[in-house]
Amino acid sequence: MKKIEPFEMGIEEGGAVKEIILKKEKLPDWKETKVIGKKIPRVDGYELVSGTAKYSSDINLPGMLYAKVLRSPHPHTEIIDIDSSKAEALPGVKGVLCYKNAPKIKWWSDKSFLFDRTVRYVGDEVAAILAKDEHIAEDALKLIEVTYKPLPYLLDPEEAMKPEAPKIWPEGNLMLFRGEPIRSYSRGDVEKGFAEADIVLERKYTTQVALHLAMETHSDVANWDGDYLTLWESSQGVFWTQEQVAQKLNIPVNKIRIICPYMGGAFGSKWELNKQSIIAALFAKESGHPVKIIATRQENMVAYEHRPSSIQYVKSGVKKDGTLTALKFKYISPIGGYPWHYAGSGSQVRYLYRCNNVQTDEYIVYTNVGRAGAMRAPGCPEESFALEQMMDELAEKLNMDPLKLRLKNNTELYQQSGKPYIGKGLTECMQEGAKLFGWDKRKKPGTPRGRKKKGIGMACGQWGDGSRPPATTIVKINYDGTVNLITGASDLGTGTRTVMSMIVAEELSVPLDSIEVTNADTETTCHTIYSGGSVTVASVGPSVRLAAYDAKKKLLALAAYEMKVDSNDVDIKNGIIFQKSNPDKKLTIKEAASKSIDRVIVGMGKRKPNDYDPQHNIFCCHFAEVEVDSVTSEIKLLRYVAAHDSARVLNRFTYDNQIHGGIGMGIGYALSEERIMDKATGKMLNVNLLDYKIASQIDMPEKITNYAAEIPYPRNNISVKGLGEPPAIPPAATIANALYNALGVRFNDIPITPDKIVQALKNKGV
Amino acid sequence: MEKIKKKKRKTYTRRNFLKGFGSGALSTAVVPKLLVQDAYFLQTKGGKVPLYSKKQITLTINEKKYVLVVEPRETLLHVLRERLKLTGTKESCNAGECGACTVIMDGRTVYSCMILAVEAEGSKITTIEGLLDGEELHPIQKAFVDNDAMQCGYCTPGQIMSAKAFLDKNANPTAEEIKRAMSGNLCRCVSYPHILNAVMGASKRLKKGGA
Repeated sequence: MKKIEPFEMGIEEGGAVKEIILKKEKLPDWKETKVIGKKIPRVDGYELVSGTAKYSSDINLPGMLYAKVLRSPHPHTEIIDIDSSKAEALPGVKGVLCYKNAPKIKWWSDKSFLFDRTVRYVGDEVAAILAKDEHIAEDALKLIEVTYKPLPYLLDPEEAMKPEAPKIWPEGNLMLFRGEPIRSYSRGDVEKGFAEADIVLERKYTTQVALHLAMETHSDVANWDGDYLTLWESSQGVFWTQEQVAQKLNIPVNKIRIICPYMGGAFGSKWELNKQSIIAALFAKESGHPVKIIATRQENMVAYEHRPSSIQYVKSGVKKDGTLTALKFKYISPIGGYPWHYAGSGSQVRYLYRCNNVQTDEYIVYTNVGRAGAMRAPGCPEESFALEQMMDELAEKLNMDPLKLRLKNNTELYQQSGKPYIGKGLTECMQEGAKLFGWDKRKKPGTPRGRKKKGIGMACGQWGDGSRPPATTIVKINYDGTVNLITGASDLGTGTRTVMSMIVAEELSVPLDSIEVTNADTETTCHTIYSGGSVTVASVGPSVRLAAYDAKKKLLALAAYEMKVDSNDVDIKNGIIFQKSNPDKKLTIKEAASKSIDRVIVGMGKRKPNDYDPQHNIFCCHFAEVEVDSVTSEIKLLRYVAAHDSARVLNRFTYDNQIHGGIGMGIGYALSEERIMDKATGKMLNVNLLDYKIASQIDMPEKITNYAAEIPYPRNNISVKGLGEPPAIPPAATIANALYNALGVRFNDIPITPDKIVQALKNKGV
Repeated sequence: MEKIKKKKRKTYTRRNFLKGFGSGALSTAVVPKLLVQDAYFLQTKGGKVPLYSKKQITLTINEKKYVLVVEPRETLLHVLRERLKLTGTKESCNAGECGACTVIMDGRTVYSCMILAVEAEGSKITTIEGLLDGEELHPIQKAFVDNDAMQCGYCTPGQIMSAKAFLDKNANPTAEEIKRAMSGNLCRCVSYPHILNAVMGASKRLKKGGA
């Protein structure tokens, strides 16, 4: 039998590259903090509210031209010929790109090209136009004549898995994982586990395609100076973008400058390089002009990344006392026309609860429906929706409180290695969250309570702490005592600029407003990991602290020399350097720094490699109270408690905002968001923000309380865990469980739209 | 016998219409000639505007006058961002569904992507840039900063313009009224709870006399 190996989201046990362990200087954790942990307004608040913040889409350069992309109207088709003569004749059109004249740049794991002769979903790139302005570009697109030869296409994943289904790729419709069509994991013996169980349940769950819908769509401005390319891009990681652009265009890294000024959100959609970046770069080189390309909202909804849908089969076994004995899990995920290597479920079934017998099989299926990509905790909200409802059902069958069932199956050991979790706060989240929420007032599910029925529900979730190098940060203390913080990290809106400045302010003990932050520019900042996967604060923050510490040491040494005291006898507080044994002897930071013959003191910090051990996870537990109008099916969210164990809260404002972000996305995911495809043509039907409805101001819970389990986390020198993705994991399950408590009806399919509630109540005979 | 020259009347017939879109190079000069005398006009405050030819308009934005030549199909949003380089107003859906492009036109909020530039002639338009007093933030903008009412900031100018127009009309709003008034401004980062706090806080500040 083939050995089934363990794996996590993108990280393999024992697979970490051997890093050179540098001089181990361990900074002690901060005891009392002056700025860290407080509610500090954003350092870039002025720019954001005044409209002066420049996003990539705001960049305007002299002589700038505009590009637009022609996209396939068919879900699977060959391109026989393209005639762009009419488009090129339109006054104001400056160029065309298509398979005929574009360089054959490999794309999609080398399976395809920038402009391929076969396209595999409605919206796939076919050609591009360069014009004087956007309107002419749009007019020109309509004049391109393409001869298509439509091919058979697949929209349903289970259809695509059948042996007789037409093949989207020669090797078949299942994406291979290490050469195998099924991604399997096994622990113990599930059949034995089911035999031991007193109760066995089997359920099918389905989740829908969800879209990122960052308020700023994908935007690029490309400009060449000779052989030097500058690309302003709304990007989650300028160095990661730089790497991909270098590879696609085959040019040296030092000839590429990627700048991400302010960016209008990402949620995972601006991580992988999109074709529009290369199209802009090619057009800019060819025309000698700067080129701007902005995806329209419609393109963004149809042709760019999405969270794939899922079909999940869960079978669970539990003993009378609540011990889980077996979990069997089949996960089918259609990822669209092209490979996506982070596809798959999210490890909730494998590791969230203690279970000795687990079997998971994941089928990643090619279909001709868009193309999947990473969206806020890939695989996790989907899997949590299934597992957390299953736990609720088991609890009901056992006549046990769902909270107690989860507490019973909590494990302090990572079940792959048997090693204990460091800083796991799930129990605290469950118990304190329950107290804050008033979980003990829970009534039996479906107890009739008049027209407006209230109910409460809970769900847990877990995510991995993927924080790691690279992150190199520079802190400059100028001769006038002001500070520059130079970091390569992108700020997606999470508040990265602010919390990194706060770390410097705390470590260097200077006022926050004396720090100016420069970020996300491959020329002026140093190589830093992308902002994604909830790794930013725990990857970049430690290097920021080390850089500030390095600058501080140098500053104190200089000050000690000036004050003619021992360099061990000085410290700095609030911008004043003083002799510890005689505090009246002091210098301001400006007085000390002005004495530097270099006119600047430079501190550098690098993120050290992790002592590799995969038992660092981030946990959360959500509680919600819903009120359902059983006549109109209107759902109101009354109260919501989100408990997270992200260790130290760096900034209470940005922390709360992030959690609200996950909750709001989860509400849309649970109740209204859905990409509706026409089964006959493979086209998206609801290409607008009214019919694809995300949460608005009036959809939010009336009261949200955030609980932070701040358990010390010695894995990095600032004691933080990531936060971006965990809040998006449990909301759908939390709301579904609350609806069950209110109505006595299970919804195993999301989104739970009013028509489904009406039908379910009808079936129940209400 | 005399040849009676029949004057060819150019009427709008399907054949005439299609002729303009036949094969061969299209130029923007050919198409308008064929259509301009026909039914393709737009009624605006400044009079009838033919749909395919350019028109000179004067826009009053943030109390400044701008004179430009625009195509009738150019939206106010497009003119603000690409022609006047007032990039504070953002484009997010270009279909009147998200509110990122909200500006104030004659005292009421409008989605500038749904207003044609030619329609905006004769109206007083205020954009986010117009709220600043020199470089000083308006009390609503200050309230947004002090309540951390934004994350990526892309929807923020639209949110603030909606809040301004709303508070100008309702100085004593309840939380419920604020939510309803602001529900036309989407925020994917979900800064909604903090935005609510900011608008509530701003209403109190404005009552006290600003700042």
